[in-house]
Amino acid sequence: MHVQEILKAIYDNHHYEYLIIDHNLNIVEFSDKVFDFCETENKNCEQVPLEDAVYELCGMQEEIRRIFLGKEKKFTLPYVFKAPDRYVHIHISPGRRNSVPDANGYLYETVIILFEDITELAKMQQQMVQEGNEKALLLKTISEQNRQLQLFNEEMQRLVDEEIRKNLEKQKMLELQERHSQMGEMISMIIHQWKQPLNAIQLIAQVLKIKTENDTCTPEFLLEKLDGIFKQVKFMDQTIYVFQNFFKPAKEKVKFNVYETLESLLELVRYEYEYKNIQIVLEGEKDVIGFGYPNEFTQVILTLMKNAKDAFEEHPSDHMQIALEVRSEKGKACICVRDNAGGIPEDLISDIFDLYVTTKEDGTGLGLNIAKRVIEKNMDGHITVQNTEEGAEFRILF
Amino acid sequence: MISRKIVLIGDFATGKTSLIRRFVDNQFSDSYLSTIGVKISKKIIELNDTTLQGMIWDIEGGTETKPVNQTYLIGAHGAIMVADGTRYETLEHIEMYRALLHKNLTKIPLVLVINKCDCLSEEERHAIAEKAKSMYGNAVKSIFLASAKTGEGVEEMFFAIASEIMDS
Repeated sequence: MHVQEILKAIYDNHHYEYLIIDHNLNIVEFSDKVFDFCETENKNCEQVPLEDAVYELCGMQEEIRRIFLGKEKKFTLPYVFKAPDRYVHIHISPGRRNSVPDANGYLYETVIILFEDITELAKMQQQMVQEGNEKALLLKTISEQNRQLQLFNEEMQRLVDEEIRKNLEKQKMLELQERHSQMGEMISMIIHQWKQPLNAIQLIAQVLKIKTENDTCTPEFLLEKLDGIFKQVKFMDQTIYVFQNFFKPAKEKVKFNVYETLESLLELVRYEYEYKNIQIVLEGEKDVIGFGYPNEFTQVILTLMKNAKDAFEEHPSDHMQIALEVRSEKGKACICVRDNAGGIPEDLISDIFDLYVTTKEDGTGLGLNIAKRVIEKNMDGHITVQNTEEGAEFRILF
Repeated sequence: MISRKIVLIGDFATGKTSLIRRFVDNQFSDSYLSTIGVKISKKIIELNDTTLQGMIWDIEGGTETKPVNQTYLIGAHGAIMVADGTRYETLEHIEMYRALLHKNLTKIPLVLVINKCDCLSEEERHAIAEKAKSMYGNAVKSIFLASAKTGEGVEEMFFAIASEIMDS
């Protein structure tokens, strides 16, 4: 066998150095260049304690003893850095075997500490680990940045939602204000409507008082005057009824006579307009039936009329008129509300139904937006506007 | 002089090498160079009534695909488990290292250090310290917030583990 030759060939062609230790962990044999990997400066390191020469084995005495005893086969400390810039595998293996365990129970007489120089391999390994770790760190950084971005987006979304909520609240409040303003206007109209019957009732009461004091009040006269009072009260009651209906929210769509609905509205508001020399004209087909919410529809008409009235305040003339025309168009109700108040500025007319767009200095920009929502969203209709030669014309189709 | 083996263990890039370098050479570098295998440094640690030669093992950090080589832990007298304060998952992984040490070594003193604390705000420092305490308060002797960059807590943690080793 060529065992010796084979071992020599391996030894000559690889970077191995060795130490051989005895039971007392003292070095008993070593290779020429083993000091390159050892700490001891004693070049003749026989009898040097193992721990002084190879400090990597600090704390491992028990493990090495187990190898002497044959309880442990071997172990390796891989990739141990040895300055300057060198790496070794340290293999600890059993050495010469006793034919039988000695008095202390040791199966082996020696243990071999083998230093395998793996600097080149370790450097390649280091490069791979470095690249892998840097990549993992980069991925983690990207992942963290994504997480931060997501948190930022969530926060932004929260802020946007909060702003939307605030805006909706603001819009609701403005709509409420708009509604209250409409109600105020209606109440002033009712007050006017009530003035006449109240005066009439007062007159009747005065006549009845005088007649009673003069003892000339006959039962027939009394009944006649009481009828007169009932008539006036009925008129007042009707006024209130219209007002009540006007602000009562409708639950479901109904068919309604458009002309009559407008007539009823005008009955209530006509005075307010005529008081300001604005003529109200209702014309067209009297039997046109619409399908929707009559109260919301009348509120839309009232908004259009009020806008016209406000426009007349800025552009007064001798012949101020708001015309309401009702007609049937392809089976639908069509209402045109036109005035001769000068029209809407051309730069605003395309946006006039947008929220907060207004031509008035103190306007909220809500009225026409609500009108559009009522007609188009609630009643599946259409509302459009155009300027005529004299003013503005709104066209509602539903 | 008594020599004692102290291992530093934790995820990769938590700053184990930097903590040792700060303690042994009082130096710090921002550049990251992965440790391959193990590097062993020696440092004399003077305690109140004794002197200890610390054999400080800087073990290659564990990754998800490459766990720590357990032979490096043989014969350790104490361990410092290192987490990165800026990477929360490294604190969660400490449980894995604790279990590994417990499996290989019986009852050696353990210290937990949260490195890179110079990158944390006061609120974050407080939060992570509380978290570490709740997670590992019963398993380790001490928990330190440290920074290899500024030196904060570095000597304290090495002296703490040395002291615990001598007391054990």
